Amino acid sequence: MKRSVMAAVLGALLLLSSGCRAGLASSQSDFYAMDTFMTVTAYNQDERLARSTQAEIEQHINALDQLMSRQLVASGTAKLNGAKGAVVTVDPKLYDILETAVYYAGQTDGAYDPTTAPLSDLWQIGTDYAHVPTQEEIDAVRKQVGWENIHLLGNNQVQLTNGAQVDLGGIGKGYAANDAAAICRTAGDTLRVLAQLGGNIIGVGENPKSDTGEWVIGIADPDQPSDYVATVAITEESVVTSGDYERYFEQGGKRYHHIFDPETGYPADKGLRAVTVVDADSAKADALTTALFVMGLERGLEYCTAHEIKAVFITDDRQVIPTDAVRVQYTFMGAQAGYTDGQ
Amino acid sequence: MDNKWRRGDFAICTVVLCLAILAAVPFFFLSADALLCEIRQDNQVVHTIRLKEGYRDTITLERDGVTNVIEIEGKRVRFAQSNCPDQVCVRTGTLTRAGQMAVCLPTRVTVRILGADAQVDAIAG
Repeated sequence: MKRSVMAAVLGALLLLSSGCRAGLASSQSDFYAMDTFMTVTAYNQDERLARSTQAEIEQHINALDQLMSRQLVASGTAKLNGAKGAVVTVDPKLYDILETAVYYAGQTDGAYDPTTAPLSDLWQIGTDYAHVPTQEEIDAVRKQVGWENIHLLGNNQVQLTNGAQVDLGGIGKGYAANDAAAICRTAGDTLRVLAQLGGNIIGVGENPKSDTGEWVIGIADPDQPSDYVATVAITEESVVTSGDYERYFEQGGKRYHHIFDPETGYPADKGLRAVTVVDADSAKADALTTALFVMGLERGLEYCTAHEIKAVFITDDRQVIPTDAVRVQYTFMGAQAGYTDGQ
Repeated sequence: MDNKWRRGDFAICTVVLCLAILAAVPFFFLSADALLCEIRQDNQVVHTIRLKEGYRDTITLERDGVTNVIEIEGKRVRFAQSNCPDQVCVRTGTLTRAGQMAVCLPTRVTVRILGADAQVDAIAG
């Protein structure tokens, strides 16, 4: 009896000293893919399962990158873009991603558009060659932009018309986050994972460091992105943010960022600094952050109300505005940084 | 059942107790608001620094001709300079709280603030 009591006491002491409330081992892995930083933290009693799942996620995302990257000449997307309007048979996975992208382009009336690649190439934002093009250059390139120029013909066959070029950067990380969550769920229901794929965050299972099991995600302050102006608490959901503060340059006192308005060919300029969307489907959230940013506050809020979208808008005049659907998960924290609660 | 303690039992208990104490030592010495700065390059931890008032350090890391200068001043850490084209690391700003992170893509450097009282699990931005 004495022995079993002592063993239990000492075991508990060891467990407490391990620093994890649920007695789970944690494993964190950083990697770089899809032109961004990614980190996956996995918690499980079996550390080997946590590590092997991380490795599987990294391998899968690298494979997706090989399909989606415009810069890799051997990628399916590069081959499609280089086909000069010919019908191309693509990998079924790439076809599925293109279908997803086209679906959300249609849903948002083109506010999210996976064919803005020629605009990105013209402006070169985020490189040493970033510049404001002439109106003639923009007008010439805009003729190539339009998601209706992507023709999904079935049997994994795709055709791009009118010189369209595909860029899946606005949906690829969300699609990858969904796949990462699926890999975790297949690995076992004891696995708990927080994956951060650039601006896309997804929580799988309960947070072992929280009494409520929720993952608390900060929404970055556009003026100081290491800090946050609000939080959202999530379980089995994704949080995606797009803003004007990451890739940009300034010319003549004006900021030019990387989220293009397909209508104008210029960076979207509708009074917003950032949009965050919370949804179980990270690809949907990814496409919608871009779309809502392009729509602007008024049209964006109308869209969110009509479709019950959980979103948080940060405006030029420092208001942080959550939609009705997200309020129960949302906490405003931006007063000290000079933001006002737009609830 | 034999309830008597044998010499071996004491030895096992002592070893287990010592292991538990050893594992807990870092937590006894770190208060709840203690902050650690962890700097990684290519997913390898290259520096772990206990942040405290009065501490100053400048760390330079390089990759493919891109140089990061990371400044630590007390409990404040930032990418002070970088010659990378996108400047995302510098624009991220100063890290002061547990849970914050800054990344330089070209050099594959991450700077994280770790601590027991992190208010958020990640920051979307």
